[in-house]
Amino acid sequence: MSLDETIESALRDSPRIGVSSRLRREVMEAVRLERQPPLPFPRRRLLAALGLAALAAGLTVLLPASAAATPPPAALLPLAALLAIPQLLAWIEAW
Amino acid sequence: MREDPDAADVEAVLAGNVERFAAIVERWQETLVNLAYCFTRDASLAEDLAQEAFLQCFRRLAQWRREAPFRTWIYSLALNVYRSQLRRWRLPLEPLSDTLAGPSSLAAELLEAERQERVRRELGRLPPVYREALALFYLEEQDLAATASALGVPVGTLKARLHRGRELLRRRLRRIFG
Repeated sequence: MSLDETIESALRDSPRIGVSSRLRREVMEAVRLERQPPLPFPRRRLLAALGLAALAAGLTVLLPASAAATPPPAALLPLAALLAIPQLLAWIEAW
Repeated sequence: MREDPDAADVEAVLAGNVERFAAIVERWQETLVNLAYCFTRDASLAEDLAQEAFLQCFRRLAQWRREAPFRTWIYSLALNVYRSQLRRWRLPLEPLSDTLAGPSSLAAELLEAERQERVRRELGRLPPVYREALALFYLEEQDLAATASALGVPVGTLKARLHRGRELLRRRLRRIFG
């Protein structure tokens, strides 16, 4: 038999192996221990809630600050942090 | 219209009926074990790999998007699991048996059987893209469209991988067989 024929025959007629009952039993035991697969991450709702919270927090910080004409830079830091949270969560989820 | 049994079982499991996952295991175990066996040539290791693939499948069940067939999703997931496990394992290859090199026809048959076994083992040592293309192609009974869909690549890409994979096998085996 030529090498090409040997290769083709070996790949085509690769014997299939049987599966022991151990596999299903062990998989199901492990699955029962885990109980329930995690539900899809409620990204949209969470992002919307965080966005609203960030907006509210931003307004709370900015409105009194603009009334005083010169907002203190320190007041913008929490706002920046809040605005970054949805982006950060989206990044973590994608990762 | 016939209901997709995988979709129905996935829905049931996600709704909390964990026992329905057994039906998914039952339906896919032979395929996943044999796919793993193409890479390991060891039945026990193949079952271990398949078990890990099923666990990952359970954990990520909610991530299956219905646009792709379940078959494509579970193949892709299993291949990822196998890939990372196989990177950790370095399976030794035993040398070809010298005692089989006799002149009798029985010896010739045995030698050919061992040569074929060596081909299958070498398949497990090909770079992943070629190994997976060849293994799935023959597991899917040489159906190009089904294999390409399972791998998530165009048919043309699959054909190129099959061609290159066979060429690599040929080169390696020439060195081994002399």
